[in-house]
Amino acid sequence: MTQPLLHVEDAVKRFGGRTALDGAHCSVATGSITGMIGPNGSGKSTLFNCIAGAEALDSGAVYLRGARIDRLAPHAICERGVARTFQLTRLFRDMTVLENLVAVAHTFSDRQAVERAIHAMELLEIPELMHRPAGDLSYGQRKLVEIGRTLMLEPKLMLLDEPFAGINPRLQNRIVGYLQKLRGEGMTLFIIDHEMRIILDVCDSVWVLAEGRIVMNGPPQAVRSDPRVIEAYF
Amino acid sequence: MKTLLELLLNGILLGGVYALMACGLNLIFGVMRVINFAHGEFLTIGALATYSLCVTFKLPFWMALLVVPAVMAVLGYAMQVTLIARVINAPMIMSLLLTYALSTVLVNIGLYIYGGGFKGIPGLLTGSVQVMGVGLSEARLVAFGVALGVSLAVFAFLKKSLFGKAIRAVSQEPEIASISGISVERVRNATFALGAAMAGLAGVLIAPIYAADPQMGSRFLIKVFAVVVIGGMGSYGGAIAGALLLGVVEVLGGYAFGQMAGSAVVYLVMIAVLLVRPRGLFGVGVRA
Repeated sequence: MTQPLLHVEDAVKRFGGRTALDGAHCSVATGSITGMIGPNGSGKSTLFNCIAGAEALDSGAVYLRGARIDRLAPHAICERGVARTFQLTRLFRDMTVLENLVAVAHTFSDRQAVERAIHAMELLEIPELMHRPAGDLSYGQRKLVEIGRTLMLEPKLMLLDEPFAGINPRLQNRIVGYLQKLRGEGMTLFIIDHEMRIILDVCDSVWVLAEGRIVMNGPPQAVRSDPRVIEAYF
Repeated sequence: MKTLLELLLNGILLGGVYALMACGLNLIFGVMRVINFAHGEFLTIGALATYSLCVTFKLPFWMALLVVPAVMAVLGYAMQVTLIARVINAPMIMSLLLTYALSTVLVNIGLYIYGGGFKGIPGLLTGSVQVMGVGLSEARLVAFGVALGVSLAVFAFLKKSLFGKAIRAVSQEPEIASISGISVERVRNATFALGAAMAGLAGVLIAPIYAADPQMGSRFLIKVFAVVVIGGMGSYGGAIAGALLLGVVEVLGGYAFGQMAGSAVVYLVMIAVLLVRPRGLFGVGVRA
């Protein structure tokens, strides 16, 4: 069996008296689009925070290509190829879109960073936003800029936290197109979302999280027919 | 009319040095949310070190211009790594107390080394230059030119360079910057070093204008706080604008009401800005 790109083992995270992750585990295969679904408060975003290093696990471990990363600083995890977006987009609001993208491209020269940023904006069809302050953008535009910012990091694994929430179906379809294109270029994607239609359509494998634990995992068709998922979502 | 022009020009020249101090203070606040009470002592160290280099060791002034900011950057970096970094995420009162204690320690070290007297540098930049019929002190012109030049160069650095953008990113969203691969710790260390170097350079520039003494820092710092409040905490452009405005207000106030009462005008302007625009004229965040 090939080694997964990402493997989370017995992840436990508590906030005071509340247990957000209660022994959760999951794996993401290299080159796949993997989904994670679960009700609000089930611990999905906390799991992403722990993978990206924004939160420290109380116990358990996170491995990237077999190497443990959960004790590293967030910037060191990013340097190893993990990038993430947020449920509520978080951009550098007082900077332009171009500056938002270039600011994180610290491994490149100034010229290379700008060239890459322009390339990312063209891929996402937002070059006209280049000089707009990020704080002035619409919700959907901010989502695209955030994806663009993660592309600047040349990640091996992109963690997408509800990329389809709160945006119109046309933009949702556009984002699906971009993600499939990225996967075609060899990137691995791990997506959290409530948009079951999209998750079940685009993902190779889906994990279901409830109350901080994985309750099932399998291909979309198996998840779609699982009674627990049907009860929760359909 | 000539008097008014003379006052305005002298006010702007004074504002240049305030700008250099205020920009450093604002950078540190913007990136770390630390109000550095020891910033005035960085200026004092710069001025007293210039006195030592130029009077005691008889080295040329330009050497002080190069050496002192570099040494202050190293000193600032060391302070940041060993002390300030430990209280950045603590309640703000902790960093206030720490930098206040640091300020007191530095003042007393200065008194121990230099004593309480004033240390002037005779014969340095003593000439004057005629500008629009007004005689301006050579020392003030040099101080203004270098201070404003460096302030604008740092402004351009923040705006144009990748590391400058990383500094602005950390000032706005440290968590996002961190998960985007920016070492927040490295940015903070570099920012504190840069702020200390800017204050040290301001000290070098005022050494030929004012006689230095170990307690001069607090006299300047209180005015620089007024600049920062007027310009807006965290706003780099605001610090430059606020400094030039405050320099003019101070000189005009001094002319109209005498030197002592004139200083009060500066703080009246600050109070007025606080009442009308509590966030200052240009808001929050390190904005280039």
